Parts: sequence; structure tokens; C-alpha cells
Amino acid sequence: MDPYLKSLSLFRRRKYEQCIEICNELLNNNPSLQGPWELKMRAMTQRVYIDDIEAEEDAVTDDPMDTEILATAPKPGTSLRTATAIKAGQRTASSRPRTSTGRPLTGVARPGTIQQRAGTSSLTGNRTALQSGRGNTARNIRLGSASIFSLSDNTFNMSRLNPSVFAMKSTVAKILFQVLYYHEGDVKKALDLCNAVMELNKTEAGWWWLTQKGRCLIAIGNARLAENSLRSSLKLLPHPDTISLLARAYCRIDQPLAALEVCKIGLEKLPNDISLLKQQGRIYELIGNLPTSVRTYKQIIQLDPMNTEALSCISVHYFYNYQPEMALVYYRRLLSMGLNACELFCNIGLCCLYGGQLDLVFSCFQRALRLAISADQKADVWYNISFIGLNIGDLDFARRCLRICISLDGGHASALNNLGVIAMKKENSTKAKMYFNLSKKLLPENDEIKHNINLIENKH
Amino acid sequence: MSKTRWLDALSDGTAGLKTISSCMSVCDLKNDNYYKLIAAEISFDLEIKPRLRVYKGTQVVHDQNLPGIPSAVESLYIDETHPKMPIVAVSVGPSILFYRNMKPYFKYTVPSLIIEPLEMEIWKKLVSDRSDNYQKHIDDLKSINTSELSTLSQQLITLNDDEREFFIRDNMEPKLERLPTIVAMTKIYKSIEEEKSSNCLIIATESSDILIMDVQSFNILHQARVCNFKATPDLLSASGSFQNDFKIVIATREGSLCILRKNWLEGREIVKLENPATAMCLLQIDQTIVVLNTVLAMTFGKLGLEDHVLVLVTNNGSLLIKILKRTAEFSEPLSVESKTTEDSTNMTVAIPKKTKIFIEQTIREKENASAIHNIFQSELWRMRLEAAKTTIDILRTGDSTFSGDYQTPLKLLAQVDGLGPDFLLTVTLENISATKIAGNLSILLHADPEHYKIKRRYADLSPLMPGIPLEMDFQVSVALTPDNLLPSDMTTENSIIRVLIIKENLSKPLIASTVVMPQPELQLLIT
Repeated sequence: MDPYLKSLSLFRRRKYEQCIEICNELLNNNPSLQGPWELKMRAMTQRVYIDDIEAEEDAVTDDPMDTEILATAPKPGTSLRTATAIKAGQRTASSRPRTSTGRPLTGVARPGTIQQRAGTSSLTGNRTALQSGRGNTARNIRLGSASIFSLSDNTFNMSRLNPSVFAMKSTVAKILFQVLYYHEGDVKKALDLCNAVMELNKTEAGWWWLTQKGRCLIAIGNARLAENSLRSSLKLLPHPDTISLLARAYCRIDQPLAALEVCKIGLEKLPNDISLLKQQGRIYELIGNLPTSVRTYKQIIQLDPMNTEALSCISVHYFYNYQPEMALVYYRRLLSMGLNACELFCNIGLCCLYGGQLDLVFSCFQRALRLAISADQKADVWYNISFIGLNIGDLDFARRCLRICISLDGGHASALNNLGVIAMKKENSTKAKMYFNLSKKLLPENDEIKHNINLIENKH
Repeated sequence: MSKTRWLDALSDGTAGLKTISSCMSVCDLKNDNYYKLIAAEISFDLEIKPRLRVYKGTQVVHDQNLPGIPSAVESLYIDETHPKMPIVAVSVGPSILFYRNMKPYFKYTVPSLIIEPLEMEIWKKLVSDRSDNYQKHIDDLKSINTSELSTLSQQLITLNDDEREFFIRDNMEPKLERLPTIVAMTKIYKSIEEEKSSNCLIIATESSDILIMDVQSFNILHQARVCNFKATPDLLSASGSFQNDFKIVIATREGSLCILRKNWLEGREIVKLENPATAMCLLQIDQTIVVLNTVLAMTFGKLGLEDHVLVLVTNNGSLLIKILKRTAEFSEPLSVESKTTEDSTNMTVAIPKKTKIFIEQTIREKENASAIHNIFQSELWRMRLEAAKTTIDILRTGDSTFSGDYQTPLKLLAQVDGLGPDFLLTVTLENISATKIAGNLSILLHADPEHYKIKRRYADLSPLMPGIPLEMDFQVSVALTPDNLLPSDMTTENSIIRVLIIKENLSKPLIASTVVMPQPELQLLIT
């Protein structure tokens, strides 16, 4: 078989590594071949491709260098920052635990563009580091963390690439952009390429490049410029990606209501578009409007009964609304879809525990433990197992589970807090105080921990 | 405070009104929005006939005789035609007298009850048997329960021997009737629950029946028993409308409270009181009013032009009318403290809807209870074992931020600051024991020298007091290659520094914790 055709076939079968190898051979023989070049670039992109629209929305963090912050005390419901304050009074939402940034927990953990936990400087394993004041410097780099796959190939050196040369080659330009953006993670260079293409073609550049420019601008944190670019792209073609990116841009500058409006208008043009509905559901969740969020997710389920994100979010909603049996139904659907993950089994175990299906509890947790790979996952599973101990009144067992959790993840504030509560029950108040203070250091805004500290201080 | 809520409108000691609560009613008798009090005067002297009086304000505007001792007075609206004129129903014995414009309008008698066949036979014999052998027949009559006898028979039994013959002779063609006495009446709305819309009359009889009557056609719409056992009604209270839903609460002389709802053929007992209830009223207020004499009867409602008026009749015949001030405030201002307790006690737990799955799961749980329990217990032991094993592993490796040594319990915290390649590693060590001082400790940082340069790797520590954390800073920098690149074999997985806390004379470290270092921001270095 012709090696080029073979590599094409490998690409279609998603065997990107082998495809790249064949392309490399072809290019070594004849570096001027355009086909293998393009194929190689596409394979490289596909291998590390992460749909960054699907990626976890970064928290709106207070960036001291950001001078574009408008309102410091926004009206309730209009800002992501105040989402906690609005919902504090409502019982339905307050029962759902919050993330370290104070927003209600969501049902899925999406791949993050940067570290998931704000500020905890990529600590895996035995996490001993506390919040470090590193701010957002890592925000804009390394989307797919392509550096992990650093193949030994020197066929092209991206840093020496001249964007204006490639801008003229319309077929290569798009592929090259994707390589720059997704594989190299060099957003600046990708943006340069966008600008070069648009300068060359002026108004005829097309919606695709406008959208990509917006994407790059969001990535480098200039959401306001991105808004202009994306708006003009939308005028040419209402593509769901563009709408999602625009919504994301508004979230970045803390205008969730504008983002929702964008989604709404988008849905009028593209009714029942799942990616837009998902975006809407997420934003509602972010601003703390959980009932509407769940309604949106239920709408998604109607359209796509296999949507993992919607299923998980609905089950989380049921679980924290005291209906573990309903949550179990949705988790079982996820399970029957072939999802075989540690977190899923952990959640099913919890549903069984609170729904009274006691015979299934341990088999779920054992499976979760077996599937847990990272220390974080293991810590979380042990943390959840401790609840069995707490529920059956075996405090020693619960304490042991929590200690395991702490040793796996030193920054698990909830586990520290629970250890403190157990110590308090055993009337070891000095130890309890120590645990509470430790967890407070990790989660300074958490009301439960504050309450516990108050309790123990008033007691003595 | 309580004094300001009521206005004494009238205190007439000479009214000479003797009545009971059920024989008082207030209504807009002339449809002039001036509510009047209708009361049946029942004298304790049997010679004086009972009278029906209407008070306008404090004046008697109408006074008429009643044919017998009334048991209840109720005013109601019979239709929706205008002008809205109420009719007054007065129950006397087994009959109800309806008055319209205070003129006799209709007399309704409740249907007769079934007569015992034995009683009929005895009467036949009494009438046909010319012999003077009454005594045997009367003894036969006495064998029947008195309450199941007709009025005629009851009268016969109570007569003296010499009077009986005349009595039987007077009743040669006996009309045996068992008419139950009406004991209480109340009203509900027919369909629209609005003031002055048409009503249905509810009648409670001595024979434990509850009758609901349509006062337009004088038909019985619904008949029900008070309770499934013998219970004589005494007081009635009702709410709702006949067509939608209604509730009738019946207090019985036996002391039980029964509830009767729409379409029920029999009331249900809800409360059993030790003593029969003497008065039943829907209480809107909670207040004590001091009256000099014993209160005989009272009613509450609209009177005159006022909305809330309490009418009291005392046992010496005084009529007292008290107006509830329109500005009267009965909810007490809550103090802050009681408010918070209120909040916590009133907090309703949001109980979710019972789903079908929930019920199915519960059934499964019930059916396989023992099997589920056994599985749970055996698996629990397995999990305890696993937890213990993992704990031992952690203790052995010291791979924790807590020291597992009981002699020197310690807690380690680490924080990494900086953008790289130079980092500041701050280690916080705290003695978590309550009393003991932790001494003879030292700290060692261990990292691949190809990856990290550490200025000070080892330090002896001063003795640690309980509860006072010790903070130490360590300067760590990434060992960059000459052309400012990361070491080639350095990945995110192996960029770690191990922090060891060592105690003198101990072969293994107390804590051997791993700090995962962030990737340095080399871009900043280049630009």
C-alpha cells in the first residue's frame, strides 16, 4: 500500500502516533511534499485536542493586574462573584456543598485548561502545599499540555515561523493555526497568524478566522477585544462555537446575564442546540440558579438521552435534594452507557448508602477504590467511605478513613473538618481545634468550619 | 394592653335575657347592613313560654312566642335572589320552625324512625284486649330500650297506673311515631363560600343522625351517622361548602369529638375527652375577659355596624356587648431571642416527594432485610480490614503530613511560592500533642540534584511547644540547563521534593511527605 494512503487510513482510525511516524518517513525522503505535512500537523493536533469550549470555566479570580473590573459591588444575580451571597438564604441550594471558590458543586469535572484547584500549584500525590499566591500566570498557557508528548522531531520549528508567509496559503493556514493553538499551546503565535490572515484578506477573511481570533483573545485574557471579534463573526454565521465562545468571554468579564442573553439569542437561531443548552445550564449553575440549570439539563436529556454532563448534573441535583434513589437512576444510566470510572462508582455507593440499599454500598466503594488511580481520587473515595463509618456510628473506622484521606491529600479541608468533629465527639477539644484551624487555613470562607470553630471556642 | 382591645358597648343588667349559646345568632335581618342579635329567651320557669327576641343594637325590636323550648337558633340564606333576606330557623323538639321577616314561613319535622314490631304488637293488644291486664303489656313495653320506644309508649310508661287506662282509651287508634329530637343545628355554605350566599342547614338529632338539608326545597341532601358507635351529638361546628368540601366537627355527650366530611356515611372519632365538651367554638383570639357573673351564653360575630362583637349573657340575665377594637393587635411583638428559636423550630424539613422507585426500594429492603444486613456486615469487616491495612502502609512509609508516632504527634504543612525557576518552600511544622514538647527533631529536604538546587538541605529544629507552629523557609531553584531549559528528564510527575522530619535515635523518619513542585514559568524568563 502507498505509505501516504496508509497514513491517511491510520489517521482515520485515530492511530495518530503511527500516522505521524509514517509522515516523518515520507518527509525525510522528500521534505517538499505538502500532503504528509498537512496530515502530520492534523494528526499532531488531533492527538492532544481538547475541545476548549468544553473545558472547565475558570473562576473569576480577582486579578490585581486587571484594570477592567467595573463594578465592585454588583447587583445580586448579575455576577459570578456574588453567587454565594444570593443563594445563601435558599434551602435547596445551600444544601449542596460548595467548591473552594464558594460556588455550588457541579455534577461533572471537565478537563481544565489549567490546574483545577485554584492556586494549589499542580500538586498531585501527597499534597502538602497550601494555597500559594501564584495568581493567574498559568492561565493562558498550555491548553492540551502538549509538552508531555514531546516527540523527538525537529521537522519544523514553530518559534521561527513567520505568520505572514503562511497566511497566504489558505489550505495550510487553518491546519497550522490548530497546531499552534492546540499542539504547541503558543496562543500568541496563533493570534499573530490570525491577524496576518485577516490583514491579508481584509473583510473576506470569513467567520472562521474571526472566531479563532476571539478564541485566542479569550485565552490570553483580553475578553473585551474577543467580544468584538466574535460579534463580527456571528454576523457572518451564527455558529454554536462562536456563540459559546462569546458567552465564555462574557463570563470572563463577569457578566453572566449577558452570556445567558447570548445563549438565548443563539438558541432562537439554532433551536435545541445541545452545546448552547449546555452552556446555558452551566452559567445558571455558576450564578447559583440551580432549579433553572436543572431544567435546562432535563431539556438536554430530552434531546440527547446519552449526554453525560446533563445526566451527572441532574443526578447531583437529586442527590442533594434528598432523593438519592432518583440520583441512582441517572447514575445507573451513566453506568449502562459504559462509563467505568472511580467517581461514578463512588457516587453510586453514596446513593445506595443514603437510599438504604446497604448490600450494594461496599461493592461500589471497593470498585471505586480499585479504579482510583490518582491520589486525589483515592483520597476522595476514602473520604466518602468515612461517611459509612459516621452513619453506622463507628467513629474509629470513620477516623481511620479520614486519616487515610488526609495522608493521600493533605489539602482535603472537609476531611480535616470531619476529623475535628470526631475529635470533638471524643471530647478531645485541643485536637479538634487544631483540625478546625487547619481546615480553615485551606478553606477560609467555609461557613461550616467557621461555625465549628465558634462552637468549640464558646464551649471552652 | 388587654383593656385597650375591647370596648364595652353595653352592659345591661336588667335585660332579663336567659338563653344558651346555641340559641343566639347574629344576622343582617333586614338587609340594611345593620346586624341584629336574635336570641331565644328560655325561662327556667316552665310556666313562662319561651320567646324569640330580636335586638337591634341594645333595643328589643321584635318579641314573639315560641311553641316549645328551642334547642338551637340559626339564621341562614336560602337562595341567591336579591335582596338578601335571611331566614331564621328555630328547632323545637323534632321540628324546625322557619321564620321569614320574623313571620312563620315553614315548619319542617324530621322523618320518623323505625318502630319496633314488638311495640306495634303490644299496642294492638293493648287496644284490642279489653281486659284490664295492662300491667303485663306495659312490662313487655319496658323490656324494650326506652330510647327505641315511640313517644306514645314512653308517655304511657311514665304514667301512674290509674291514668294509663284513660291514656289508652284516648289513643284507641295509636299513631306510633318515633321522632328524634333535634339537639343542635349549624350551617354551611351551599356552593359559594361567601358571606350572604345560600346555606345548607346541618341538623344533629338525638338519634345520632346528622342531616344536611337544602333549605330551598327542604329536602334532606345527605344523611350520616355521627359515629360507628353509640354517641349522642351535643355541639356542632362546621366549615366549608356542601358542593366542594366540608367538615363537621361533632362533640358528643359521651365525650368524644367526631369529624364528618363530604360523602362520608359515618363520622370518625378524632379525640376522646374525659368529660363531655360544654362549648365548642372556632377560636380566633386568645384573651381573658373578666365578667362579674357566670356567663351563660355567648356568641361572636358581626353586630350592628361592627365586624367583631362579642355578646355575653350571664346567669342573672345581664346582656353584655363588647366590641373588639379594629386596631386591636393580638400578635405579640417577638423579642429577637424568641424569633431565632421560632425560626429553628418552625424550619420545615423539605421532605421530597415519595417516588415510585423509593417505594420499590423500600419493599425490596423489607423483603430481603436479613440478607442485606448480612452482606453489609461482612463487607463492612472487609472494608475495616482494608482501611487498617492502608493505615499500616501509611504509618510504615511515614508518607503522610501527620506523624504516626504517638510520642511526637506532628503536623506538616508546606507552601510553595514563586513563579520559578526560583521557588520559596515554606514548611510549617506544628506539635499537635496536648502537653508534650517535641524535641531532638531535624528536617531534611530530599530532591534529585539534577532537578533542584536546594540551598539548605538540612536543619536541626528547636524543641517544639504544643500548639505553636514553626515556620521555615527554604530556597529551591530548578537546575536549568545552560541555555535556560528544563532538565531533559524532568516531567510534571517527577518534579517533587521530599520533606523528611527526623527524630534523633530513630531509624525511620517521623514524616516523609512529598511536595509536588509547580512547573516554572520559563516564558517569563525568556521574555
